[in-house]
Amino acid sequence: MNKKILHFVVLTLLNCFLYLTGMSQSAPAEDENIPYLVTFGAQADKSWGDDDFCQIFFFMVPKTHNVPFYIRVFDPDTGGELDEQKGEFNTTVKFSVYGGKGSWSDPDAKSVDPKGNFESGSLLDSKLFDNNSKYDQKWYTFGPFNALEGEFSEELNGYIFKVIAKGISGDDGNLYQYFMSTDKRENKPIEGGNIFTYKYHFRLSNNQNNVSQIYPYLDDKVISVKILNYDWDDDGFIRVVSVAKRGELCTISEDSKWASTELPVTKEERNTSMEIQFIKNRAKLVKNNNVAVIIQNQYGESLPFYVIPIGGIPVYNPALRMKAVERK
Amino acid sequence: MKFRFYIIFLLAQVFFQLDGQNNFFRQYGFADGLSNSFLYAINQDKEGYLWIGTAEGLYRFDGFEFQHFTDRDSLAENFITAIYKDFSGGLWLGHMSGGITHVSDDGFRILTGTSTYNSPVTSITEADTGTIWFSTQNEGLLVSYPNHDLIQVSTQLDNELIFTIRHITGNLFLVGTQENLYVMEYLKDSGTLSVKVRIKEYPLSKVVDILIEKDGGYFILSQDEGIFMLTFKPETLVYDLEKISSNSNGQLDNIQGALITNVNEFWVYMMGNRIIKYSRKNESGKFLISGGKYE
Repeated sequence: MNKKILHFVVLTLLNCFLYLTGMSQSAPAEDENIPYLVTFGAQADKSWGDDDFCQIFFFMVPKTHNVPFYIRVFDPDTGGELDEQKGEFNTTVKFSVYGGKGSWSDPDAKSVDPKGNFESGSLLDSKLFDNNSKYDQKWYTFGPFNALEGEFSEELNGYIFKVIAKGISGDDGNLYQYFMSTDKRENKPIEGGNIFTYKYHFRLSNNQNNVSQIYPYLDDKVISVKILNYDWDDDGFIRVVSVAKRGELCTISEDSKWASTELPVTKEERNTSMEIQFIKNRAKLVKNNNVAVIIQNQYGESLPFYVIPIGGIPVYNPALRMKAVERK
Repeated sequence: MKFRFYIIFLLAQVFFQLDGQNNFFRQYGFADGLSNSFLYAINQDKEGYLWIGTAEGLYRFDGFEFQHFTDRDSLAENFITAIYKDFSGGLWLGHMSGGITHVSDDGFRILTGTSTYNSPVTSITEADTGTIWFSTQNEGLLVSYPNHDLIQVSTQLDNELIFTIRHITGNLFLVGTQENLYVMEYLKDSGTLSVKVRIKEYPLSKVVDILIEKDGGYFILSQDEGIFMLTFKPETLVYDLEKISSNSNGQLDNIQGALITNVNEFWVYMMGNRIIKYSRKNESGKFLISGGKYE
C-alpha cells in the first residue's frame, strides 16, 4: 500500500478511536444514551424525580497522568431551553470539586444518602449557578487540577476527585453534563480516565424509541444485587443484561417511590459490568421523566456505575446461561 | 488551596532586573532540575534562596540549581500548600493534610500536634507577639507559640471554609473565607477567634489572598470579582473598601495570588499562565494597569 494512504488510514483510525474514547469519557456517556444528569432545587417536589436534590460523581485520573486536567460542566445554570422550568426560574445549584484524603474513601462519600460527612475531603473549587444566560448551553470549566490533589486509590490505580451538584434553593430542575478533559476550552479525554457514581440521577429521553443503559461493576465479592429505581412513572420497563442474564425484568417504581429487585449473581458475572437497560414506554409518551437508580450488593453496599464499563459492555453468553441453569 | 503556577514566570521576576516597562521571563522546568511542574507556594528566605512547594516535595533554588527535599528529609508531608517567612527569617511550611514544618538554620522540624488534623493549611501569618497563625480550610486555626507549642483555635465560622488570614495589629486579624471577609479578634480567655466586623461590601467571592500595602492598606484579592483595597482603623473599626480593579471583562478570572515588588509594582497571577502587572499612579494614589499582560 502506498505509504501516504497507509499513513492516512492509520491517522483516521486513531482519530476515530480518540473521538469514541472522548465521547465516552463524559457523564452521561455516549454509550449510555442518556441525555442529561439532573439535580433539582432544594424546594422542589420529590415527585418530579429527584429524591435528595444532590448528585455525587467521582472522577478517576490515572496515576500516570502528570499534566493539568479540567472538569467541565455543560449548561451549569438553571434557565433557558434545556432545564426543567417550574414557574419562574428561581433555582441555584452549587457545583463543588473535592480532592484529598477522604474525598472518596470516607463511607459517607459513597453513601446514597447525602448525609453526614458526604462533603469529605478538601474543597478545591466551587461555584454557584442560577439562571444566567452566560452559562446557558455552554461549558464551564473547573481547574486546572493536579492529579495529586485527588485521593489516591491503589484499587483503581489512580487519583479520585469528587464533584457534588447540590440544589441550594428554588424548585426547577437543572440538567447538565460532565466531561473530564485535558484542555480547558475543548473536551479532550484523559487516557485511562473514568467517571463513576453510586447513585445515578438522570433525565430519560423524550424519544419513545430510545433505550438508555448504565453499567454497574460487580466485583469479586458480589453474590447478589438489589437494583433500586425511583419515580419511574410507568415509562416502559427496566431490564438487566450481563454475561449470564438476557434481560431479566426489574420491578418499576411509582411516582415518588422506590422499587427494588433482587437478582443472584453467578461466578461468571463477577469482575464484569452489568447493563441496566431503560426501555421507554412505546404505548404512551412520558415526557421529561427524571429517575434515580442505585444498585447494592448483598451487604447493602452501593456499587459504582462507571461511564466507561469496566471490562467493556457486557455481552450475553448463552453458554454461561446454560451453565447457570445447570447448576440449579 | 491555591494551584499557583504552572509555568514559573515569577522565578524570573525575582532574579532579573526590572525596568518598570519591559520584563524578561525565563522558564525553569524539568531540564533545570525542577521535576514537578505543579507549584503551590513560593518564598525567598533571608539568604536569598527561593523555596518552592510542590505536591511532591520542597525545592530550594540558589539561582543555578534546584535541590529537592521530601518527607525523608523530615518534612511533615510532601504536599506543600503554603510557605511563609517570619520576621526572624525562618520559613514555615503548611501541608495538604494539616502538617506543619519549620525551616531554620538547624534544618527541618515537624511541629507535633498536627497529626489529628486532616485539612489543608491555606494561609500563614505572624502576629506581633511572635506567634505564627495557620488557617486550615476545614478545621479552624492553629497557633504556634515561640516555645513551639501548637494549639487549635476555634472560630465562629463553623460552616465557612477559611482560605486566608492576615494579622492586623494586637489581637485583630483579617480572615477571608469562601464568600466573606471578616475582621476577627482573638479572645485569649476563651481561646477563640470572634467576628468583630463582616466587611459587608465585599462581594460573594472566595478571598484568595490578602497583602499588606506599604501605606497601611490591604489588597484583597477575590477569586472572580476583582481586586479591592481595604483601609481600616483598628481603634474605631471604621473601614473603607474600594474596588481598584474590576473584573468586568473577565481578565481577572480565577486569581491565584499576587506579590508586591520592592519597586512598588503589584503583580497578579491568574489560573493558567496569565499575569498582570499594576503600578501605582503617584498623584492619585490609585493602582492602574501598566506594563501589560503576560500570557
